[in-house]
Amino acid sequence: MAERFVILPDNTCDLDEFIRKEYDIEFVPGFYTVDGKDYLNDMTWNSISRADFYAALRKHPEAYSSAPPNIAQYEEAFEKFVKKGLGVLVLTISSKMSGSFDFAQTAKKNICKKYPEAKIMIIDSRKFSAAMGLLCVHASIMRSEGKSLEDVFKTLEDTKLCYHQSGWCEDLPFVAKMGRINGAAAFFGTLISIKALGDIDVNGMTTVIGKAKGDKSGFKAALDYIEKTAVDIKNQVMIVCTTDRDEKALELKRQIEDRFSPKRVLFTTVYPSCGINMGPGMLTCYYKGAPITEGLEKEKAIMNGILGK
Amino acid sequence: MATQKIDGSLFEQMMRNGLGNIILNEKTVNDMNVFPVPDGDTGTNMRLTLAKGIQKAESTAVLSEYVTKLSNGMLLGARGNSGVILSQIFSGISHELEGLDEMSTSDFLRALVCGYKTAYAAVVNPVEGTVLTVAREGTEYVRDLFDPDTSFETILEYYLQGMKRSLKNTPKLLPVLMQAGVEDSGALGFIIIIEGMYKYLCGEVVNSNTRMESNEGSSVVDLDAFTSESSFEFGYCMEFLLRLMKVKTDVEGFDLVGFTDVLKTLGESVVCVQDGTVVKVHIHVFKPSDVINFAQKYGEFLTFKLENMCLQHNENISVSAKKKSHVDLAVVAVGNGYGMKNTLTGFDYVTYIDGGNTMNTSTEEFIEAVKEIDADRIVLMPNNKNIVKSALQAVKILNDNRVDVVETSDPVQCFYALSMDMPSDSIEDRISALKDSCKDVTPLRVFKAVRSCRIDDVDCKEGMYVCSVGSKLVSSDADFVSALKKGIKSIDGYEDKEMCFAFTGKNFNMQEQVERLFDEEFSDYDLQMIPGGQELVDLIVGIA
Repeated sequence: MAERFVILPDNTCDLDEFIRKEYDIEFVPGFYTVDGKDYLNDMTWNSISRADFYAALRKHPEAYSSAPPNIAQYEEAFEKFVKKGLGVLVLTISSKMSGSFDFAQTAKKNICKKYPEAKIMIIDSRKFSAAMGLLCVHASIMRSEGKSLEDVFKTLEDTKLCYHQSGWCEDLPFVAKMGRINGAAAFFGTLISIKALGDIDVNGMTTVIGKAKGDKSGFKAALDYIEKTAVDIKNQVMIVCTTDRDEKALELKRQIEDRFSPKRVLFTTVYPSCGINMGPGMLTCYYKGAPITEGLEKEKAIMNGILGK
Repeated sequence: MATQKIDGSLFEQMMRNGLGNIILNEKTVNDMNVFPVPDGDTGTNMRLTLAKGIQKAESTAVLSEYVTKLSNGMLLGARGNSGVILSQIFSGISHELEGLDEMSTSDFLRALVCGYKTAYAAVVNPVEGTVLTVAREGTEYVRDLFDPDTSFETILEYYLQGMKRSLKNTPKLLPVLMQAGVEDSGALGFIIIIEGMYKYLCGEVVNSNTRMESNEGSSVVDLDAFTSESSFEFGYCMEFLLRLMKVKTDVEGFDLVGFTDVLKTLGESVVCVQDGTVVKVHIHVFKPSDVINFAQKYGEFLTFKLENMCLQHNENISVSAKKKSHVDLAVVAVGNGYGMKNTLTGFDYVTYIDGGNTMNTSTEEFIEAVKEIDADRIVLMPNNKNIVKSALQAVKILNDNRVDVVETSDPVQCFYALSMDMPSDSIEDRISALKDSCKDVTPLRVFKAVRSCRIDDVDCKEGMYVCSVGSKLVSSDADFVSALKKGIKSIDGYEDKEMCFAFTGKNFNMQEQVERLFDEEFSDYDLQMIPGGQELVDLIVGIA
């Protein structure tokens, strides 16, 4: 029985290197394609700067696409740790968005044929980007508290639908074009100052649950929403992430810290695999809260109340 | 001659003379428009409204039949505030004359009373000092002097005397008129129409080259609608005035019937009217050169108009819904300029109507747009306070409980409300939110004054930049940016606002200066300037 285990998300976890190092989180790299040419997504900005990436993406979104790690890449990653006698806790992007979960399952079958004692447990996070990344951070915290792979797996499975998002996207037409948002068709032509506030539904898709005019109203709504949906906030490690809105994302982080004094608020950036689908202009906070309701009905009602509707 | 009875035929000629008179004086009425913006359109709106009524009314000797169709046509064609009130006056007149083959002077007096009362009832907050007052006081003057033996000529003379006296008094009743030094333009327009009717009875026919004026609107034609690959299926609409020339033909013995018969072999929808030595021609034709060559055998052109009817056709169908498929909620929005069109049609449930420079959409245009839409609910957003009444009139005529009006008085309100729309909400919540959202936006306009005046305690000289907030002038300055800055600072609580978005006019070239102003004075605002392309106003601004 493995006593230690590796936390191994796919490359859509969007955790900056310093977070991965601090929390001892590995990952399985994936690829993204630009004009038919493949590029490795190694969750660094070494091969292209973040500013250049999002500027180019904004100009020609149709040239970009992303792909999860394939079965062989999963097998290679699993084998690396299984050979060392380590258990592997795998987290994948939502199965409703990608084949990553299925590929990981197939890779696990293949590896377990070769290594019958291998312990590989795979979670369909039902999330993407740093929301999944936060699950990984929380898994790491539980691991450091001495919890077993099975316990951490069970806890994450039981609570993965309790992770919320609060923040906004400033480039909705982009997101609408890429189809990674519910009800996208009506968002063309929106004023750029208007903030579309979203939360994640049970499948991991961002759904706009309200709109605020301007940054001031946006920050207020985002923080009020956290207050009404988060649980045990003072003991939480939360995460703020952004594609290319650093100034506003850092302001969001600062306001969260001032108002709620959570245990910690991490800051990370969105890498190409998720960035291609989320687009520029995104800043948000992920945190643990009450279970997400079907159709986000309760969440919409909360936001309507905050916005005075 | 003393006229004691008027039937449908005579009434029609009187109305046509009234139309001719408003056409002749259209500019005078437009110029009396209070605001110094070159969008004075009272005369135009009244002319278009009346012309539509006359166009729709079929000639008949039966008075009630004619007046009913005239009134219905005016209701549909009503444009702007003044056009709608005019249509309501005639609606009241038509109601009182129901069932009559001809009217007596007593019938006419009762009809005038019904006319002004119907108009008053149609206005939510009737304002004295406008056409309502003038029509009422003119009628009361007639009533005081009325005698059943009095002829129509005398009745109309009394009516005009009473109304003109009332018109002189309108500045005392409406401060904005006093400040501008003008009388009410809608009232003047109505007097001019009645005067034309009176003139006909006195044997004075208004120059008929103006009586047949087409009732085309002021909407912008999209030239790209007819390309080098288009199918030329509708031909040209041609209208001209031809002066018969003695060197070319027997002017005294000119055979209009024979002339018309030949034109009918060259085209369709032929109408020819002769007034003295001038012949007015209207014809639809594929080969205009045939008509030109034929006409020049008899004289020379005084005026000439030729339009590709494929463009007119496409202009009409641009009002049609972009999508024929069903939507929960559809919006009919009015705008002007390519930028506004692109912006508003960016929402795929919006049907766009180009209202022309003054965004003056008629009741009929709203109705036609609604008919093209397949939706559970439809909302009209007029974007100009002068056509809110046209929109409300459309709802009344449609008698369709799916249709509602969001009383937007400016396109920035419409754009903001649409941007804040949440398609995932219920339809009724969305409509409610549209109504609430548009109130969050304070509209501002900055434009050049076309005449000097003092309005709302603001002195402006011709050529200065004027800023209005809502319908009130708040600042004027020789410098555009200064006028804008003063305008924004005049808004209550402007320091707490978060965003400013603006449609820039066709010839706007002060983007950098405006951006600098916001960097220096309103740095908390998110500023977004959208090329609007509108003709008359340099900047249409929304502050929220």
